[in-house]
Amino acid sequence: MAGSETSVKVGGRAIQVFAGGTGAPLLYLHGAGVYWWMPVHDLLAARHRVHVPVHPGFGASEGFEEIEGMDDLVFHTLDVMDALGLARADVLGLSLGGWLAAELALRHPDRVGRLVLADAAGTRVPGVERPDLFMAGPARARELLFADPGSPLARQLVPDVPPPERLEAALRGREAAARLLWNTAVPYRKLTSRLGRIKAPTLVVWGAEDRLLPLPLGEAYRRGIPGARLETLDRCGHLPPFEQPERFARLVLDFLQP
Amino acid sequence: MQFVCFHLMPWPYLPADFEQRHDSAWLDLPNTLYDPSRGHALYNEYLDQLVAAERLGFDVIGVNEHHQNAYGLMPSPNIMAASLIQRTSRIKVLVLGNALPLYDHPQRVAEELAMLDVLSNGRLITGMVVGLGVEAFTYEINPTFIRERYREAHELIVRAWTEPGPFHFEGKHYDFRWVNVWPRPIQQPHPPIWIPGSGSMETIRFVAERRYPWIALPYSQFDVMKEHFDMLREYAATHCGYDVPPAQIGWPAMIYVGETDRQAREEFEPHFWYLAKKGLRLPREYMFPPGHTSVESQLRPSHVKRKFISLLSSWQEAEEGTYAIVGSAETVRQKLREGIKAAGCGIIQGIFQVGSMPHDLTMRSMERFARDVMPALRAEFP
Repeated sequence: MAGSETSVKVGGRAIQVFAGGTGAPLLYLHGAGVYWWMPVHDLLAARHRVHVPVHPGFGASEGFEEIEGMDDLVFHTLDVMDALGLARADVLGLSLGGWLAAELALRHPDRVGRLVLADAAGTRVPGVERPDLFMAGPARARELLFADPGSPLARQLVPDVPPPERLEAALRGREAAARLLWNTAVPYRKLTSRLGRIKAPTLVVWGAEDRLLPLPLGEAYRRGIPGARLETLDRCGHLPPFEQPERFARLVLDFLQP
Repeated sequence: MQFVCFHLMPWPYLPADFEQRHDSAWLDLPNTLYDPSRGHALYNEYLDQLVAAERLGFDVIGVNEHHQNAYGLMPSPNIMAASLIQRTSRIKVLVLGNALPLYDHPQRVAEELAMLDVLSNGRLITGMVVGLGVEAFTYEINPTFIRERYREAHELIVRAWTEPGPFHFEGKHYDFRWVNVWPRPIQQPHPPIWIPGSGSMETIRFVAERRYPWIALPYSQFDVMKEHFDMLREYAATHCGYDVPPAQIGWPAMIYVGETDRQAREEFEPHFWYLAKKGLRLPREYMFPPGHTSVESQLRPSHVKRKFISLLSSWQEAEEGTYAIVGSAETVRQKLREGIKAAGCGIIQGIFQVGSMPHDLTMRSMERFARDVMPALRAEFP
């Protein structure tokens, strides 16, 4: 099974969307580095209709100039849900997408059923350093992102040099990511202090060896969101859906069972 | 031809094993490597060199702005300009800062530059720069907004100098209800504005549209720089309807004049490598944070072809790329003559003190240049 690729118009801009499977809708909000259909999406699509909208500025999605910060991306995502006919959906977010998912659940509880946060950005804990991915070359980035930086997966997702046909998209994706992730100290502090307002049943999944957003940042989500559960994956870094797709998908599917 | 004596004010005392111990001379280089006592003496030597340029007959002396590094010790070029203004009487003073997007209060830049213009009785030439990519990290400025902030701050400053205040400036990034600069600049309509740039299309369009003199950056092959000058000329001719005069084009060149070619190279080369391998040691990710240079500019062939000075491996390569103009007076005259013709420039921005070059060598080279090179070039390129 592979996701089909479509495009929806949001505010006159073309937004790239991958989708697959049948069942209750699951909105997958991608992170800053991987914004296409991956094997984990096939596993999730076994029981759900999985939608992977590509955020403005990433991949083939237009409208980057409308996004000045996370609040704009939240409003944009509501429009995407409207365009996809999703009055309400379970929402899964990874990294940057996890921050987006948490803000969405916080601000628009009527649109979010259950919430899954995977190594989500968005929390701040005094004394816990968050290394800067924008300062890292490819080798250092693989160390920060993957439990096994030498794995074929790490080299495939973070190559030393992007293949020529992907170079422009990679540069634009970095720019779109920096727009949202450059100076996050204040918005993270605010989100962390507001987590108690999130009503959605929440599963937090974290790679035990995440060196980009270390585990205490996931514990902050678990502590902050009432009733949240934290599952830690050993031998896993910042990207559980890609490093451990089977274990990750099983956790998510069990959590989302009606 | 306008001759500028330009200074970077580098820290020349990085240890010999610096490259083995540090990946960068910028941003995260521990400031314990800076010694304030030696720094005091150094500032005074560097200022003496620029003050001497007035006596030697240069047209302009210049300083610039960089942050958190051993390459250049002028986080505030305005302070250096204030000092130079007090110690000179006729020469123009070029401030090839301020890095506008770094500041949340561009009114402060408008104020300080106006102060310098009044203080100097109209000898100020201002620069307005985007700042290096690494400087987005310095002040935590989102690099994807840097170009927008630059344009808006530039507009605010020029309007603050030229429109009666107070008025309300309404922008996207800046909104000031009370723009009302006291003092106003003495030069009318405002002090000259020179723009340095690495050759991004954004900057070339910006200077072409406003007819600002454009100074290239000195750290790539001459041919790449010349291509950028050609792009400026072509853009101005096709989009702005005018031919760019030489006075609008500035060639930044490291220059060293020795007694003979051989002696010149021997005296100059260690300091060149200090600059290339130590002062400009800077990881690619620090230099190009996302958004600082547009994707279009990054994909352009000249960007790809450019070989940054820190990547050079031999003096022969440096010579072939004309990264520096080094030799006897006769050789330097000849090389500059050829370069001026090829570049079509009317401004030579000479950098005489390079890297770890000591005061006496710097002064002797400047004196030879002023005596044996500059007059001949003035006669040939009035």
